[in-house]
Amino acid sequence: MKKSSYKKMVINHARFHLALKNNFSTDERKYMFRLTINLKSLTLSAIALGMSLSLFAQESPKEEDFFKILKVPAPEGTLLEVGGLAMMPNGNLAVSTRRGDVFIVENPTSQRPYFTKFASGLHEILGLAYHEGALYMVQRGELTKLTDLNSDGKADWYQTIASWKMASHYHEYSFGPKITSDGSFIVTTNVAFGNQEWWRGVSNEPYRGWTLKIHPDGKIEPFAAGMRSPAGPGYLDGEVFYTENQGDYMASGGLWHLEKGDFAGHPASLRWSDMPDSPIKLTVAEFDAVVDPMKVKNETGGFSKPENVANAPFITLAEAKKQLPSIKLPAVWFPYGIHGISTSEPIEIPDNFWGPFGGQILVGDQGQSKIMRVMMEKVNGVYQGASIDFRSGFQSGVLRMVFAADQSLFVGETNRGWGSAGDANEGLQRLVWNREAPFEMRTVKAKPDGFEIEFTKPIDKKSAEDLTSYLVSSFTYKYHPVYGSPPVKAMTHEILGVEVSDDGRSVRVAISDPQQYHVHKISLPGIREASNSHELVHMDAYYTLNEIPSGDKMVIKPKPVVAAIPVAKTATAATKTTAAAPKPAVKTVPDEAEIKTLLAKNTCSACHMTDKRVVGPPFTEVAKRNYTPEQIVELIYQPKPENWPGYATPMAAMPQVPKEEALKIAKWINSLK
Amino acid sequence: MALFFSAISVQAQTKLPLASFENNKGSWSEVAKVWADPLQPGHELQSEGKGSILLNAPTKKKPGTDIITTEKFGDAEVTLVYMMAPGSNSGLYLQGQYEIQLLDSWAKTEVKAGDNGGIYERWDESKPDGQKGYQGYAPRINASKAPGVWQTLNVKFKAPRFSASGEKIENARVMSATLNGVTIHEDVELFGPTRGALDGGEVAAGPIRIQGDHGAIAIQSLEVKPYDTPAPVFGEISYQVFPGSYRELPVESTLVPSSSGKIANFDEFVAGLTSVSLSKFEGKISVKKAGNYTFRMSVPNGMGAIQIGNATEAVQLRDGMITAEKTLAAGETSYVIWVSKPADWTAQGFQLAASSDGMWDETYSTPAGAGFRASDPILVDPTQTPILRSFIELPDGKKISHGISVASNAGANFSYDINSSQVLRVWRGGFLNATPMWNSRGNGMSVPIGIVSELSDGSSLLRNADGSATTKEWQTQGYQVLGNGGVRFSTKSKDGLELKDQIQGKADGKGIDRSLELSGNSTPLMIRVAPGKVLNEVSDNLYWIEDAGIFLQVAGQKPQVGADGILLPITTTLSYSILF
Repeated sequence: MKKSSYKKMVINHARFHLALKNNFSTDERKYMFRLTINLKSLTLSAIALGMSLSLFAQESPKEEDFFKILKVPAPEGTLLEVGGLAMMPNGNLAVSTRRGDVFIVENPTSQRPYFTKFASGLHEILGLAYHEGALYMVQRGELTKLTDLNSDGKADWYQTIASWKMASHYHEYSFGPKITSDGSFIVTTNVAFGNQEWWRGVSNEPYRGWTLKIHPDGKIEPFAAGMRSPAGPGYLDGEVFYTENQGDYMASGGLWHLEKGDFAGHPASLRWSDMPDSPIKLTVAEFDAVVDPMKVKNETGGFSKPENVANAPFITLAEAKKQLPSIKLPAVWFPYGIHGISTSEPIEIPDNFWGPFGGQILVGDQGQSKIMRVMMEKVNGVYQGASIDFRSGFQSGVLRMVFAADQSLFVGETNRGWGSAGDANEGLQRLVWNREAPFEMRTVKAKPDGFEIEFTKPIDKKSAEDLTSYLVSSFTYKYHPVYGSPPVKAMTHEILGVEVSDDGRSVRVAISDPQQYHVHKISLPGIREASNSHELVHMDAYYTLNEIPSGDKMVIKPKPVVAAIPVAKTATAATKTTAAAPKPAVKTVPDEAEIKTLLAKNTCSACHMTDKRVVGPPFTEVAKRNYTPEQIVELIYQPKPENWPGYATPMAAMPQVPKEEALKIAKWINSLK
Repeated sequence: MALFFSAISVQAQTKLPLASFENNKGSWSEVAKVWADPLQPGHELQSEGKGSILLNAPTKKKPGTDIITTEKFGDAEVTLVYMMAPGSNSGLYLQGQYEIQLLDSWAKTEVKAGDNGGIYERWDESKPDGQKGYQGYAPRINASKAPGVWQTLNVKFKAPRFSASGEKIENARVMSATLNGVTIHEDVELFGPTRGALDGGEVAAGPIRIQGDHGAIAIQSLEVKPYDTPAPVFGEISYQVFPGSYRELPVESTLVPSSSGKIANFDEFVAGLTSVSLSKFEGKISVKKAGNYTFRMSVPNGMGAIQIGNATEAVQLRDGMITAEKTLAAGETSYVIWVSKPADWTAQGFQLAASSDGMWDETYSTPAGAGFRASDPILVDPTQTPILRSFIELPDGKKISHGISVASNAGANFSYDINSSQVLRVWRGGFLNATPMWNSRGNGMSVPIGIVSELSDGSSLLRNADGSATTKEWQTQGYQVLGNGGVRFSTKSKDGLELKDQIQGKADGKGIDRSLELSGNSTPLMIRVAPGKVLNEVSDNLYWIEDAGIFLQVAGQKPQVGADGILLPITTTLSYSILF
C-alpha cells in the first residue's frame, strides 16, 4: 500500500469501516497508525470514526515502519549459512557460506535473482571481499583468491595467498579479509579452548587470537593482539576496527579501534609476543601479575572454572591499562543482552545513503538477530561513541552486511551452534529503507559536563526542556577470566540542566559526575517530536565515555518547576500521567505489562521467550522444573548451564538484577506451569 | 572332531583348519602364501609353500567343490579373512542355508544381492524367468577391496528358532555384517534358505559351507564364535514406590511406599513413572550358564543403583551409566534395583541391559520419554561438492589442519594434507560424512564413508636418499581443479623448489594416478608413497603391499622398503598409481 492509497481511505469513511472489520495484515495496521495522525492534522473528530483515537495516538512509528526486511528469493534447498558477503562492481552479490560454498547472485535486488555456485568445498568461509577483479575469502586456515581460468562461471584456481597454522580446534575460526587502502588484507583469528580448562581461551599456534595484516605478496604481519572471538573485522574510514564477543576476559561485546601494537584484552595471544615480528612486547607473566588468571586447583588436580563472585575485589580494563599501557579500550561497549550478545560485522553507511544516518556505523548481532547503529567521535585522539538499537526481527543471526547500489542492505545470517532470536538457522535477507527519516537520536557527543544529542527531526521544546524527559545512569565492567561481567559500579546521574538549540534539532544535557570509562545509558523517554508528539523510535543510547572532552560547560538554568507543566494537554502526556498514578495493591505475580518491562529491563528477553526456545530455554520449560521462586533467584545470580545440556550458550551470572525484581520474575515464571 | 570342540570353552573363537571340513575333492589345499595380479582376469591365485592358508584352486583335473564343516553351529559370530581371485565367485553359507556372497566386486559403483557381501537371493522355480530370485539383500555400499588383497567379513548370525514339535517359530537373522570394517547389513531377517542351500531345509544348528565350484578363493582364517550363552532372566519382580525426590538413598526403614506390587517384567511397571519418586525393585535373576555378566542401567536425568547378590559395599544412587559386573553361578541370584526420579520433568522409566561373552545383548527396560539425541546425518553429495576441505582426524588421533578430500565420478576418493603434500588416504564406497563438522558448532572434521586405506600421517613427503625426512619449509600455492576427481596442487619451498602434484581418480574407479613434478631440484630424493613393509611384485611394474592392502603401480622405478613405509625415487618427475 502506498501513501496515496491510505489518504484515499481517510476520505472514504465507508471503506475505512469496512476495512476495520476485515483482517488487517501487520503492514496495514501500521499504516492505520499513521492514518490516525493524518486524521489528527485534519482535525477530524475521533468520535466520527466511532473509535478511540487516543488509543492510537500513543502508538509512535516503529523501526519496521521505516526499514522493511525483504527476502532474497533463492532456489529451494540452497543452504545460505552466510559467512561472507561482497558486492561486485557489476551489481552481482557474492555470498560465501559456512558450508564452504561461494554463490554469485545476479540481479540480487530484483524479484528473480539468479544463483550460480562459483566455488565449493572450502573450510568455513567467514569473510569475502572483492578486490582488483577477484574474490578473496578467509577460510579457517588461509586467505584464498578464487579465479575462473576457463570462463565457465566457476572458480578452478584456488590460490593460497597466505596460510597459517592451526591446532584443528573447532573454535579456531578466521575472519576477513577487509581490504586496506594500501591493498593489504586484514584478518582476525579466534582462540581455541583448553582441554581440562574448556572455558579458557588458548592460542595453540601463532597467531591465534590476533589481528593480522597480510600483504599482497602473502607476508603475514602480526598487527594487534588480544582477540578472543573477533567475528567482526572492520575497516572504517581508513582505519582498522573489530568487534568482539563476550567471553573470558571479555566483559561484553565491543567495538575496538586497532592500531599496530594494540592489545584488546584477551591474554591467550600474548603467548606469541616474544616472536621476532610481534609488535607487542607484553608477556603472559607481566599480564597475569596485573590481572589474576584465577587458576584455582580443584580436588581432582585440574583447575576450577572461574565464576563471578559478587562482592570480591576486581580490576577494570581501564584500571589495568594504567599498568599495562598496550591495552586498548573499546571505542564502544555493547552492553550484553541489550545491544546484542554476539556482535558481528561493523560496516559504514555510505555518506549519501540512508538520509540522516549516512556515514555512521552499523553493527550486526548474531544472537539477537538484529542490527545496532553506532556513532563515533574522536575525543583527545581516542575513538569513542554510542550504540543504539536500529532494526531487529531478522530471521536468523546477523553476521554479515553489505550495501547494494540502491541503498538496500543485504544481511547474511546464520545461527548454527549458538541459536538466535530469529528462529531460522540461516538466511540472506535485504533491508530496504522507505526514504522517510525515523525520529531518532542522530548523534550523541560527549561534552565536558554531559552530552549533546542531535535529533533527526525537530523536537518538541516543552518535552525537551522538561528535565524528567531524561534519565542518565552509568556502569562499567570487571576485567577477569570469568565468562563475561555483570555491570558494576552502577551510578545514577542527576540531570542538572538542558539547553535546546534554537532550531530544535539538538539538546545539550548536563549531568552530575560524568564518569570516565563508564558506559552511560542515556534514556529519553519524555522527548517528543515537534510536529506530531511521537516518541523516539529508540529511546536509549549507550555512550562509552573513554575520554571527557575539555571545554566550556553549560550555563545551568534554574530548574523549571515540574508541576507547572500542564497536565493532559496531549494524549501522550495524559497517558504518562496515568502510568505514574499509584498502582493497585502489590500483586504476587506481576501482570503482563509489568513482566514485559522487568524482562526487558533486566535483559532476560535477550535470550528467553515465554514458550519458544531462542538462545535459552523458554520460561515455560523453566517452570516445569518445579524450582521454588528462591531457587530461581539463586539461579539468576549463579546459573547452572549444566542443567540444560541441549543449549549452546551458557547463561551469564546476573547479580545486577535487584532481588525484589528477580523474585517477581521467578514468581511469574512459576505461574506459567 | 566333536571331541575337539567339546574340549574347549564354547565362547572361544574357533579357527577352522581344512581338516575341520569335509567334501574336499582335491581343489582345496593349505599353502603358505598366495597372491594375484588384480588386473589379469584369469580367476587365478598364485601360491607357494605349505602353510595355514586354505586355497581353493580348481583345475580341470580337480574341479572345485564346496567344503562343509563337520561341526554344526547355531547362533554365532563368524569372521572370514579371504582373498578373491580376479573375477572369481564364492560364498559363505551360514548353517549351509544362507549365503553371504563372496565375489570380485572390485570398484563397482552399484551393488546387488549377488555382489560381495550381499545376502544372496532366494529362488522360486515356479515364477517366470527374471522373477525367480527374491528377498536378497544388497550390501548397503560396496565395501569390496581389490582381488588379490585380504578382505575381512564379519557376520553376527542368529539361527532360526523351532518349537518342540519342530515348527519354525522365529526366522534366522543377520544381526550385523561388516565387510572390511564397514557395516553392510544390520538386523536383517532371513525368511528362508537362499538359492543353492544344502538340502534338508532350515535347522537349529548347521555347518558352515564355503562355495568352491565357481572359482578360486583363499582363506587366511575362518573363525567361529558361538553365541550360545542364554541371557539372564529376571523372574517375578516385586516393586515399591516411595514418593519424594531423592538424590541419596534414605534409610529404608523410614520410607513408606505409596504403592507396591508384583510385575512379570519391567515394561509392566507404571506406578511412579510420572511423579517424583524413588522406586525399588527386587527379585531373582536366573542364569543357565555360569560366567561373567555385566548389567548396565541409566536413569535419564535421574539416578539409580543396582545390586546383584549380597552387598559388598553400601549401595549408592548414581547418575549416568551405572555398571554392575558380576560372576554368576548357574541358578538364581537375588538383586535390588533402585530408580530415583528426582524431578517430574525427567523422562519416564529407565534403561536396563545385560551383556556377556557369547551372549546377545539383552534389554530389559527402556525409558519412555528419553529423546533421541542423534541428529540427522549430513552426507556430502559428491556431484554437488566433489572437493571438501576440513580438519582430518587420523586413526591415531593426530589431526590434520589443512586437509582436503576429493571425489571422482568412478568412486575412487582421496584425502590430502596441503601442508605436507601427502596423500593421507584413499577410499571407495561413499564420499564424506560431514555431520561432525556441520551439525551445530561441529568439530571441523569430515569422515570418509566406505573402505579406507590409510597412506600417510602427514609426515614429510620428500626424503633424502637414505629415507630420512628433508627439512624444507614449504608454502602452499593452492590448487587447480581439473574436473572429475583431478586436482593439481602446487607448493614452493623457501629454498626455491616448486612441486606440482597432480592426482586423479582412475576412470574405472580402481585407484588413483599421481604425477609429481619437482622443478629446481637436481638432487636424487625419495618420496614416501605408502605405509607397509611387505612388498611383493605380482607382475611387471605392479607391487602388492600386503600389509597395507593396496597395489603400487610404477614404471621404470623400483620401490624400496624404508623405515616407515614404501619409498620411490624422484629427482624431477615421478608418476605412479595406487590400486585398492
